Amino acid sequence: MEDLGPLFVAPHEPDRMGAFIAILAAVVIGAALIALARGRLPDALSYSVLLLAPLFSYLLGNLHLLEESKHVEFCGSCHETMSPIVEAMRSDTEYLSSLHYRSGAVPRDSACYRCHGGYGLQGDAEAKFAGLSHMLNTVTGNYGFPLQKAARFDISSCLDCHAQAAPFRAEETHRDPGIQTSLLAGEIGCAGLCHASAHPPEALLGAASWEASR
Amino acid sequence: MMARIAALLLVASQLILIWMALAPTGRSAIYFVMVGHPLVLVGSILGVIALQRRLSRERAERKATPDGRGTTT
Repeated sequence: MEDLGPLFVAPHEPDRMGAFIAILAAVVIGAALIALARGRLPDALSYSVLLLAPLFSYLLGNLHLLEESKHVEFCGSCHETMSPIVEAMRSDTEYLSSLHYRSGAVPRDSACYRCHGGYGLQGDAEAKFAGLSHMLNTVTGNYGFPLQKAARFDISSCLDCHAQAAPFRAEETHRDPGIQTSLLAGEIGCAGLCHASAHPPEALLGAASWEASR
Repeated sequence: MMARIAALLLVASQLILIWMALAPTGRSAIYFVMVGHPLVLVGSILGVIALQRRLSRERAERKATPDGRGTTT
């Protein structure tokens, strides 16, 4: 991306949580290595360092992962499946993801999660369970191209921003009772019908096809 | 022996945790969730068992001494 000066650099916080977890894990490793070398640890340390600290570090690790998995970089790290979608989102195209990302309508760091995370706490929980199933599918190779969303897209994510927006409310189509009923019942979606698709079709065919198409 | 296995499992689990914490990617997250968690759980359970066995053995040894206070070594 072209360097236009410091004003155009998004604020970035250092990952203190990750560093803290790494230090805690290093302490546990040190204690475990001492235990291995000596054959035992002092009693006072045995329970706390060798048994509670690993579990606590994993608890922190899970919280850290829940937060980190919201980031676009995390989504794009699955090269074969997700990197073309992230690359397409950052490109100048007419597709919805690109329009939202490039106009700053969604947070740059968590653009994927903003739309795919659903709405509210339930949306968060569903997104995390979906992430777990993505992991399983990646490990087992249980996926195919073109990628398709398993469940229907939750338009609550769209409405969270657009429902109260003046241009959205002024649009005659949105005022149509039949359209409203169909949208809220999930019979139709916003993208691919009245609005452009969320992602270019070639980005859903995997990294190899994406590279070949460019 | 059990304590050593527990320590090794915990070391492995913490290495995976460090990898995920410093470089959270899809790959490190998969290893963290699917490999790290079983390692830390089994390591902790084995560690608890090893500690309990050691403590009960030490208690038995203390009872076996004439004054009931165990040896001084």
